[in-house]
Amino acid sequence: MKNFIVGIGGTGAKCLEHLLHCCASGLGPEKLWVGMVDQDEANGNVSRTKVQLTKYMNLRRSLRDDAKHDLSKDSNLFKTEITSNPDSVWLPLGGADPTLEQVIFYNNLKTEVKNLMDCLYDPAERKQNLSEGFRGKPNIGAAAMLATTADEKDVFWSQIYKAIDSARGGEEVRVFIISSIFGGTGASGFANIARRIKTIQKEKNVTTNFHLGGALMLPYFTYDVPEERKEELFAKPEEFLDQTKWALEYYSKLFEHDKIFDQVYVTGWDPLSKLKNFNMGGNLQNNPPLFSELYASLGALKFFASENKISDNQEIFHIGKNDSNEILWSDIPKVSNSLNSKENIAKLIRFAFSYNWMYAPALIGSWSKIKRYQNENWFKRLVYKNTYNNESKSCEVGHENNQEVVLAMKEYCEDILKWISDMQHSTVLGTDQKMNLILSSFFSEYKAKSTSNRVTIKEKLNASEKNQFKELVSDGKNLKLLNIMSNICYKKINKEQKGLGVFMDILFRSCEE
Amino acid sequence: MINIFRSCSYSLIGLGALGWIGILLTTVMFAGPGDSALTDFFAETIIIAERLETFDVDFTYVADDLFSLMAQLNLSLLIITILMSLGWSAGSHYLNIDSPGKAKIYFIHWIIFTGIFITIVLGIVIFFTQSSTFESAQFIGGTGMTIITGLSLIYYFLMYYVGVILGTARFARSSVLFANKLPGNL
Amino acid sequence: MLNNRFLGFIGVFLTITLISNFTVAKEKCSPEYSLPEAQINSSQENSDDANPVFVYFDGSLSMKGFVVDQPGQKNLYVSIIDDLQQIAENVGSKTYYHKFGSKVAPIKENEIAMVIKEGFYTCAGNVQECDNQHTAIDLPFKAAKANLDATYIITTDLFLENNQLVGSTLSALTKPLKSVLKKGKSIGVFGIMSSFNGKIWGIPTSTGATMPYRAALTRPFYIIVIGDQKNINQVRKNLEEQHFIDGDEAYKYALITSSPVSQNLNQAKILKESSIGALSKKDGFKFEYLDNDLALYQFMTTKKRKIEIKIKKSDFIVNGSSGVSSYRIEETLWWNEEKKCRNIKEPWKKTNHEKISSYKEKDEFLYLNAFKHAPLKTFFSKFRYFYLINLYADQTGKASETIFADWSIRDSDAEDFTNQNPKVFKTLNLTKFIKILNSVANDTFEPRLIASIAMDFEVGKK
Repeated sequence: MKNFIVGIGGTGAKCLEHLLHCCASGLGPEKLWVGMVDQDEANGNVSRTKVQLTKYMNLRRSLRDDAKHDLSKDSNLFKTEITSNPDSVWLPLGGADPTLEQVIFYNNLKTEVKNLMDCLYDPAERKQNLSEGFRGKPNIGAAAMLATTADEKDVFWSQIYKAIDSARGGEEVRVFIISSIFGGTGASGFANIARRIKTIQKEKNVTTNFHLGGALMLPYFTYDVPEERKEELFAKPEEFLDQTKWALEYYSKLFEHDKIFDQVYVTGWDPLSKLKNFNMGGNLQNNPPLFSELYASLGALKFFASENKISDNQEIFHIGKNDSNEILWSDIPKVSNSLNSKENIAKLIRFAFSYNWMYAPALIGSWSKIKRYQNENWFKRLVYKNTYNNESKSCEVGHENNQEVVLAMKEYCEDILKWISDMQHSTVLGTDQKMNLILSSFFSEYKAKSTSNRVTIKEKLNASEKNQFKELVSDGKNLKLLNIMSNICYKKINKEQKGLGVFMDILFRSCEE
Repeated sequence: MINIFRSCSYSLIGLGALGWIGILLTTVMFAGPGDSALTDFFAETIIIAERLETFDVDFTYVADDLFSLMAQLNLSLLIITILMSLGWSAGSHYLNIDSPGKAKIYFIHWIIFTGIFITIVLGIVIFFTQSSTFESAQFIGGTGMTIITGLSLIYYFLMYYVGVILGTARFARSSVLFANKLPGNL
Repeated sequence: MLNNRFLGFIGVFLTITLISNFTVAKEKCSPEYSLPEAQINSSQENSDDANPVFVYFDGSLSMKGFVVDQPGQKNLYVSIIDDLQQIAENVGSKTYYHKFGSKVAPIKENEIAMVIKEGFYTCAGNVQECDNQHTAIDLPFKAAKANLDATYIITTDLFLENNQLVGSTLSALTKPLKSVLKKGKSIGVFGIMSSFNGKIWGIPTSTGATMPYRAALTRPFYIIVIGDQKNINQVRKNLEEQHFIDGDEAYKYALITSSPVSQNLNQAKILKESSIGALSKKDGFKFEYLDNDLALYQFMTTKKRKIEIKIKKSDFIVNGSSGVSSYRIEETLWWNEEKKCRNIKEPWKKTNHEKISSYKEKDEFLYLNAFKHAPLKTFFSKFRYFYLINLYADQTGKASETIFADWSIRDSDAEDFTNQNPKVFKTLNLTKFIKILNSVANDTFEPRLIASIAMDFEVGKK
């Protein structure tokens, strides 16, 4: 099965970030192609997701190498083979500082068409610099996208065409798009890109094996606009609901008359999460991960799950949390019967913690520093044996190539911890809601107003902080670091595993009760 | 829990490697003295031959009780060795070794535990051979006492040590002397 | 009815049997042993009819000074000799008096009064006949041998030169004494310091000659009584009652005998519970005399206990005798595997101990340190033990030598002593004479069983 996912706009990118972590925990499909669509190339969220995507792919590549380090096929850690274009982001409008007038060749239009454009778009809208996105104007975005999508030669769209061709060849293909129903790029891109894909499918006479799914994010956050900027052109939170209402009416009619999606996943949030920083776009628009985005990513993973039988009828799924003010682990749905999201994510968090603070420090450095652990069972059976070079008769864990992998994983683990901490704090900030999925105060610090580094992770933990590990994930499982140490010493090693993949996978598997 | 059972099983295997000698000896002693090298050994080395000669006491008068004493002594030592070894093997799973490098710290705990074991063994030997509880203990001479104490300490310590080396939880092996030399997957 | 009575009888019988089993602290049972005979001093009590008294007065010239008063000094010689006749007649049936010097001559009864006169000590014969300087002390001793039933009383100054105490002269002295002592007789030596006014003859000089001395104011004389201890004691009693009631430095007495042991402690039942000390107060302790007079101690003891039997010397040593200088212990230790008598089927086994106990003397007591050489801590608590001790007097004592030591002067020292012009003169070779008597007594001594003691005991575990 081939799987493709496209995140549209900032929300789409953020949802992809959640999806990456879910795939790292083993919730994703075997293979997945990831792409993003955003006019705001420098968008902070998009950039963050791009970086995360690169880290994921690099780390996975290092740890799924038959010759050096191999987690093995059976390992759930970084299970999904994620691929992407060299530039994972597709800009609908290229060039420097594009405007709508340029895209529609306004000056070359016939008068009557010009007049129609004047009715639909005021001059400010026509002349708006679109390099930082469509500023919450789906009408602009839709027009721009319609003018530029479906170029088969385009690197991004060629993937879609190839996917559809694969379906024609008999292979099942599933494509999923995520975006917000409000705002700019997402609102404008969701329906248009979906319809465009469907058109290509029809053109290629692909009637079976091709399935399209989508996740629509209803309003789930808000922000305060400074007074001095109220006249500028950007997505205004007070307009979100109206936009949503109109959009839902549109989609309702669309789905009624035209089966574009096989499955649609709809979610939102109430009360809206309050974002502290207002930025119109660019790299300063770096919104925190929010819980409802996780729903979208899980919806996508559910769509891709092999157990998910897609019927001929269009299905619309919606999800929300429990009625109380507290967000619980039980609010996280399973991806499938065999893929328990809660367990996998909890496992990933524990893995990230224990790797970052307990084991990575022992594996970082030269051999002269690391060798003090050489007689410890975990090291002996999981690391030493698997990084031993028979030719040089030495353990090479301290060598540069191995150290790169160790450090890369440490960095990814920090990202996981920051992601979950940020999500937990930011989702409920300024609201009456509570979210205590994890206990993060003992290992991190949260600064709501910081754009780039809302969460800072402690460099080292003292003994009492380490002891709080058992309370890290509030899922009722009394898993201590001692249990993890015990598990890594006793878990059976998969014969196919190699190099550092042995240790990483065993540690990951040890992080469940 | 399964790991604890595994540890205890390994511990029993380790104990058995040397323990069979003790079991055999205890069984032979419970059977009583006969015309054997063991009886001769007791008659010539263990008992206070000179004093018995002064009292004109033949070894046959004391042999039965002495053998019974030694059998009970060895049985007690066997039991305590097995219990202590299994106790450490199971208990090692509860040592708070939660990070790399921490197992070594528990070497002190093992030393203390082993010290307690040796003290108990010594105490049992002294109780059986020196106290007034067993009448036949008075027939054991100074040399015999030294031999019994020395051999008991050495033998039961080795038995305990082998049991502990094999039975200690993998992650706690650095707390036991030389246990970390065992293969990682054992 | 008969059945009820019969059953009642059986019940009573069983009850009594059971009670007796419980009330007995420790059953008696012992190995086979034999006790030596207790040789009691046979103080043959002869009737007065067969017990004559022979009195010998030393008539040598040196004795003359005793009958001459010395102003300022008490003359005990005269007063004692005066009483001696009556004392002698108290002792025996008939009394015979003699004078001796170089030879022995009988004295008629009417001549006895002359003994306290100067004339008794002068010789009417020629110089050769009247060798008044020589006292042949062996002559009355020889006479004593002849009639062992008689009592012999000899008064003399015992001023004996060395040459009288060596060779054949010595032999002449010791031979009759040996016979006397062998027959169970004793020799009582009374020393009395009396006034003296005269010449002391026969003081040896360095040249080999002798010299006299005139300046002594006092010097001792001696009454030697040979015979039964009973008669000697009688004489002593009379003398002391009449002349030395308050204890007197002028008086010394020693009894030389080959049988200083007066009685067997078992026969006299002298040994008691308390003889063994604090052990007698412990639970399970029992003491009794068996039918064969053996003193049996039954007890249970700890390994740390020290067992000591305390015996008063005066209980078995003749009063005034030289006493016993060494004792001998004959001992046997048995053990049995079974502690209860009824379970004892195998015979008791003897141990191979060479030495188990020892003794020590302190003041007037003899202490028997049981298990001194085989401490109880070496015993086994598994067994029951039976220990038999026979205590013997092995050698006579030498107490009498010390009694008279300060009245004695040696041959070699006599000249120098005389040149010091002493007022209290000493007796030449007195200590040597007493030693000779002791030696003779020792030669004729036979070890006597003082006591037989048995211990039937168990040793605790601690």
